[in-house]
Order: sequence, then structure tokens, then C-alpha cells
Amino acid sequence: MNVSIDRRPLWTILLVRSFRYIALGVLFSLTYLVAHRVPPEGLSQEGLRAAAVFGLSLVLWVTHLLPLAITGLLAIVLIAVMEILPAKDAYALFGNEAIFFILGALILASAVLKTGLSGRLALIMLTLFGSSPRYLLFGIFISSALLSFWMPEHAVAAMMFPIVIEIARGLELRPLQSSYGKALFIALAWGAIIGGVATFLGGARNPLAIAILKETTGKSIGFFEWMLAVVPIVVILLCVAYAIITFFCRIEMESFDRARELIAEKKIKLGRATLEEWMTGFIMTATIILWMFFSHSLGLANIAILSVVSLFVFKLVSWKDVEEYVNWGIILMYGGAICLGSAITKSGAAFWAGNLIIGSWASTPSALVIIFAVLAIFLTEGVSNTAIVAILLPLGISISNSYNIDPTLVTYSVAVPAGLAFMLPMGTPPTAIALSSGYVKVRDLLLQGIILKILALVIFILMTRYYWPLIGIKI
Amino acid sequence: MSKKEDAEKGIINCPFNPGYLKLLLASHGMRIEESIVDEIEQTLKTRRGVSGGVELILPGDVWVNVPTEEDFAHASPLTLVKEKKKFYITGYGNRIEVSIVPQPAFYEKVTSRGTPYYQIAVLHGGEVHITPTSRCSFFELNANCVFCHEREKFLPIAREFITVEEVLEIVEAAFNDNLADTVELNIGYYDSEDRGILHLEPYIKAIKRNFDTLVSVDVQPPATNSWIDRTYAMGVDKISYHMEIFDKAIFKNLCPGKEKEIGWQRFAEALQYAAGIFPSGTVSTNLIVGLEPAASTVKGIDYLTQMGIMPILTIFRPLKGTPLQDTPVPEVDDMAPIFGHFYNAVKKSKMNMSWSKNVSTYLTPLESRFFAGEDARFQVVMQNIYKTKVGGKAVRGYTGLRRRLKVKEVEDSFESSGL
Repeated sequence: MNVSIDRRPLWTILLVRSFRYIALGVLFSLTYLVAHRVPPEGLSQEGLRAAAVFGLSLVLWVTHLLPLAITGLLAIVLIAVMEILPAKDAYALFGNEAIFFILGALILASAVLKTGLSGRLALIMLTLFGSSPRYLLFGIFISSALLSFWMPEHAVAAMMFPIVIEIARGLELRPLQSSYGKALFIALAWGAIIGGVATFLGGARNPLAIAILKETTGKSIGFFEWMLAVVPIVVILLCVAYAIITFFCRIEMESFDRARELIAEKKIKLGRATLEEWMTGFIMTATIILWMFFSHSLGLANIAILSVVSLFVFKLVSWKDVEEYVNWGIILMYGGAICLGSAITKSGAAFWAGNLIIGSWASTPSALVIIFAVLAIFLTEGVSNTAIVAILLPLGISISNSYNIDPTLVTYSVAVPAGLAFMLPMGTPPTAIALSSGYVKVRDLLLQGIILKILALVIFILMTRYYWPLIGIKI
Repeated sequence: MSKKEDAEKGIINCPFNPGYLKLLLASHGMRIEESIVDEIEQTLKTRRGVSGGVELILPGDVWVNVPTEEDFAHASPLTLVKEKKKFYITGYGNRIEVSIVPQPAFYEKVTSRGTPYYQIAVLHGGEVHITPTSRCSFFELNANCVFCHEREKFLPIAREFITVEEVLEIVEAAFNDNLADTVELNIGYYDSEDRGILHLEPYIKAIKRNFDTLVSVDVQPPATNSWIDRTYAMGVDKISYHMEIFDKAIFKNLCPGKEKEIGWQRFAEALQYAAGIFPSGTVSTNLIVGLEPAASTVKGIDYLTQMGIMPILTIFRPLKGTPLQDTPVPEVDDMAPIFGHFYNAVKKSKMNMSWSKNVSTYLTPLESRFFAGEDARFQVVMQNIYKTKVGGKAVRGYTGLRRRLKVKEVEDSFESSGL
């Protein structure tokens, strides 16, 4: 038992501890009061109730007064109980294709982690780049990024962390003092974060965005289409981020032999690739090819679930492994978010609120896209990036018609910037993981992160203006 | 003449000053009238060490443990007599009615492993004091405190710890007889970083799980403060690290083991740290009155109370079989001003005085009011409330809630944002 005693005065602790209950009580009361008011002009009674539930969920997602998943479930219940949607329809939204795609992707990732394939891929990359301190830094950065194309970014960061910390300790880099140590962990975090926006697999927020788009407009974005639109942005961002890391963090290493030895030792320990790794690798590759070229005809979720079935056919993963690796909370949260998005769109609340809050600022379609990108990229530092998608996207899609913008463009403008949380640990786990190493200070992440964030925003806006029209996404 | 003037001049006015009488009885002991020796000895056979005397209740519900077997007691000016089924203390031309605390019925019982209860537990007022082992490593190191009895000589229980089940049996018996509502666990010196608190942890947790009670421990200060955090977290409500002597040079001479293995400074540091963790007035240390100059004791009282530590002023008792057995007992007139100062210092520090109640082996801060010429009406009312069932329950509820709010278990893993 490792304990610490809170030495603040008892009344302070009591006040802090009670705050949550008081805040929840106030929030629930406010929701009730708002939902039972006479609706303002242009909003139906259902719309007002939907707006109240949306406001409640928004505050709960932002403040974490309840776990994200529980807020998702609460949203569904309130939508049904307050008769915003019939209960049957509200719960049916849980059966959305995107949920099953996310479930399939998470199970596939669990197989890659469990068989050790992910660790092997990381070591191969590090061996390729591990000839000098500078190459090793690049190796960690690019390995994290490329792996996050195909696996959830937090899983990549968690998997790379023990390898990188062992290298840092082996090289006797001193926590908080070694500039190179700092660079290694920032590279790990930023590589995973930037790579995570490239495909649907890097972060479940991307499929959630597609699901909200599909549920509210009937439109969709294919796996390949997404990559075509986003990968060039990712490539530029990777170059810029690497330049910032090497500019701020001096590479003070002289002897590098220990790092090479460590990587070699790990490789020997891992041995030859097993049959399970080969087969998992084959299934994963086949799945990605199918997602890229047949997502429209076969469906993303169908491909994902069939791949999962094949994992079990060949006994590459057990249900126990799946239970261990898969975050089931994510499924519940997404179900709630999709249901909420649908409810506020169908009731007209999203259109009304979007016009009221954002419409007054945005005079042109370009301004609207920029506003959503700015909101998403900055809010994501303090709020889970998935919550940002759940909050902003329904509003954006609803008012896109008024500006004659393709809702898919708004989807990109929210989902991509929402994934770029470079500064604080609240938005995405890789930053928290980098901080937990003891080599990186929050101050380092804030300083370097704000520069990268501003540059990322500029790059994103320039790409929407000059690159996306070339591939048919026009403002 | 006012009570305050009486107190300042040290006038013996026994019928109206039970604090003074307690001091007198505790320091000089008493003789027992020949005709009632057998009856009184019945209550003595289970007693030992500094509590090896007769337990009396004086007017004002003041409890005192009175030595009767030591040589100085045979020369005491006070005598216990019995007339018409009532007991009296006589001396100095006064006769004061007292009552004798009968031997608790549960002393006669034996544990499931056959150990008599009285060998493990002693009842002190509302507290049952349990000694789970007789071991004290200072004796092994030949560095014991010179005023202390070697526990194993008078504690026939094994050096190995008694079982948790045995302790629970005893506590249940004491509580069922409505004789106690608080448990104290005490052990000697342990040559480990935690100083033995880890050995006590299973007992503390089991007692807390099974009884609605306060638990206090009497141990040596651990090597690091994290053990003090853990002590509070495991359920301890009151803690004592007994420094015994405030003067550093005398401390070194009289407590060679404590000086060598722990050090005076560590006692002070650990007590100060504990005072920041435990509730007000629950961190205490012994200062033995009569083994160092009065000025030094007074300095110690000020030093400790300013840090939020409650001094326990025990009166030196030269125990038979110890190197100090022939040392003269302290004089009441010398001690009285110390206790007056003690009350004022505790009052000034605003520490809670109500934790100690019905204590027979030392003067509680509230009992010391008799030497400061104050009525302390508010504190007396508060203590009387604490003594009621509802008051006791409220206190236990408060200590439990406080612990729940203050203790944080530290996870080794880093927090992730969940999704």
C-alpha cells in the first residue's frame, strides 16, 4: 500500500470533494429547467430538450465529472426518456456501423500487440535507424508515426515507451537534464499523435466523425479517400515537428554504443518471427488493402469484423486477450456520441445552436472552416479529442448547408485538428506517457507544442485552400 | 483566598482539589489498612509496571493508579481504609471517599490458545491496552531505558506475537462488559525501518473491521515519515512516540537505546510530522516528571505544545528491580507548578484536550486545570459529551470521515485520459 496524506485543512478537502456532487446536482437541475422552458423562436420543444442534453453532455465530457463512457450512456437514456427520439431509435443507433468498425479495429490492434508483432516492427525500424543518435531519434519518431497509421496512437505510445525508456537509461541520460532524453520522448509522443490522424486506425475519433457524418447526412468518406486528403498534411507536419524537436533539443551524445547494444539485445531476446506474427501480419496487411480499395463496396465494419473472425479461426488471439487489450469504454462513449449527434441534428437543435454560436462569427465558408479548425485544434488540448469531435461536428454539419459547404469538408476540419494535441496530457495519452518518463517537463511541451500547433494550423488551412481542391474537396 | 491563589501557593486542599490528591497518591503511593489487604490484593494480581497499583476513582471522576508495593508507598502519609462498605483515603487530617475499580471479569478468561487475558491486556479507564508481544530489542542490545522493567520478566507471554484472533477475543470481551471503548496497542523497540508498525497492522485492521472503536498505538518513531502516513492510513487514531526526557543529555544517559538507535532529534521530527497528519491532540509523547529539572520539563512542554504535540506528564515511579528503584519520588509541591503550566500551554495551543478520559497513570491536560485555578467549564462539558454514547459515536464518525478524506492511495501507473 503506497499512501500519501492530504495535508490541506479538512474543510478545504471537504469542499473540494463535495464540489463534484454540488456541480452534478446543479448541472442536472439546470438541464431539467432548460428542457422545460418555452423554446426560443426557431427551435422546437424537442430541439430545446436535445440542446439541454447536448449542453449537459458537453460539460460532463469537458470536466470529466463522470467517465466519458458513462456520459455517453446517460445521453442515450436522456434522449429516450425526454422523448427527443423514440427509445427504440435511440438505442438502435448503438448498432451503428462505425461502432463495429471501431470494435474490429481495436481487436485487430490487440492481436498485433499480443503476438509481439508491433514490438518487432518497432525494433526493425530502430535497427534501421539506430546507427547514430540523430538517426535513432528519427527512428523513434518515424516508427511511432508509421505504427500509428495502423494502430491506435495511445497503444503505439504505450508499446514504444518501455523500449525508449530502456534506451534512455542505458545511455545514462539524466531525467529533466538531458536534452537528448527530452528529444526522444517528445519524438515518441508527437510521432504517434501526428501519425494517428493519417488513417481511420490511429484514433477512434476518425471513424466516429465518419459515423456522425453518415448518420446525419447519409454521406461517407472511404478509407483511401481519407488517406488521400490527410496523409500529405501528415507528411508535412512530420517534417516540421522533427525540425522543431531538433532545433530545441541539443543532441549532446558522444558514445552511442550502449543504445546499439540494447537494441541488439532486445532483437536477440525477441528471436525469430513466430508463425503467429507472420499470420497476424498477413491478416492485417490484407485488411488494410481491403479497407483502402474496397471500403465502399464491402463496408469498413464488415471488413474489420471478418478480419477479426479470421484471427479467431487461426487462434491468433483469445477472447481473454481481447478483454485485456480492448477499451470497452470507448465503444459505449461512441454509441452515446453518435446517438446525441443524431438527436440534435434531427431535432433542429444543432442547426439552431450552430447558427447562434458560430454562424455569427463566420461570414464566409472559408471562415467557417477556419473557425472549426481553430476551435478543434485548441480545445483538444484540454478535452479528450474524441469528445471534441462529438461536440463540434454535429454543429458544423448542421450549419454547413447554410454556407453551401460539403459536410465532408467540415468533418475533415474538425476531426483532423482535433487529433493534434501536442501540448497537454489531457487531450491524448501519448503526451501523458511522454511526461510520465520524467525526461520531459510540461514547460517543454508547452513551448515547443504551441509553435508546432500554430504551424500545424497554418499548414492545415493552406492545404484546405490549395491541395484539397486538387482532389475534389472544395470550399 | 481564590482557587487560583491556592493553586499558585501549592496549598494542599485535598477535598476540593482532586488533581492535587491524584498527584499525591501517584507520587507517594498509599498504605493499605491491614484488614482489607487481602481484598485489595485481589485487584492487584493482574497489574504490572507503572500501572501496577490499585486503581481508584477520586471525587470529580478522577482516576488514579496508586502504587502500594514499592518501598516509598510503605512510608506514604496516605492510607486506604474501609468503613461501612465504603473506601476512604485518609491523611493530613482529611478523609475523602473514593471508589475502587474492580478487577474486570474478563481478566479471568483465557484465549482460545490458553493465554490468560490479563497477561495480554490491561484496562485503563475506558481503554484496553494490549501488548501483542513482550519483545523489546533495547534489552537485547543492553540499551534499555534505565527506569523500565524488563518486560519479559513480568510479562509471561511469549516473545512471539499473539494471534489476531486472540486480540479480537479480548477486545470483544472488554467491549461486551462495557468496560472500554478504545483500544491501545503497544510494543517495544523493533530494529526495522518501520519500528514494528507493520507487525501491528493486521491487528489494527482487524480491530477496525470488527469494532466501532478508536485505536491508539504506542511505538517508537519510524526511520522515515512515509511510515507515519501509513500508520494513519491503516486506521490508527492516536499515536505516541515516547521521548520520556526533554533534556538531551539526561535523555542520552537514561535512554541509551533510544539515543543510539533513534536519536532525540528523530523523536522531535517524527512527532512534529505526525502532528501534521493526525487530528489535533492525538499525537503525544511521555515526559517523565521527576527525572529531569522542572525547568527542563517546562521547556519541553512549551516546545511540544507549540508544535501541536500533546505532552503526557507521567510521574516518575521508581519501580522495583530497576536501576532507579532507590531514586526518591518527586515532591508534589515541586510538580504542582509544572502541571499548572501544562494546562495553560495546552490551552494556548488550542489542542483538543478531550481525547484522554478516565486515565489513571498520568494527569490529563484537563485534570491539570486544578493546578491552574481554572474551571475550564467548556472543556469539561465537551469531555462529558465525549463520554456519552452519542458523543463517542460522533467522535469515531469524525475520525473515520477525516481519514477517508485525507488518505490518498497512490497508484504507480500514470493516468490516461481513458480513451
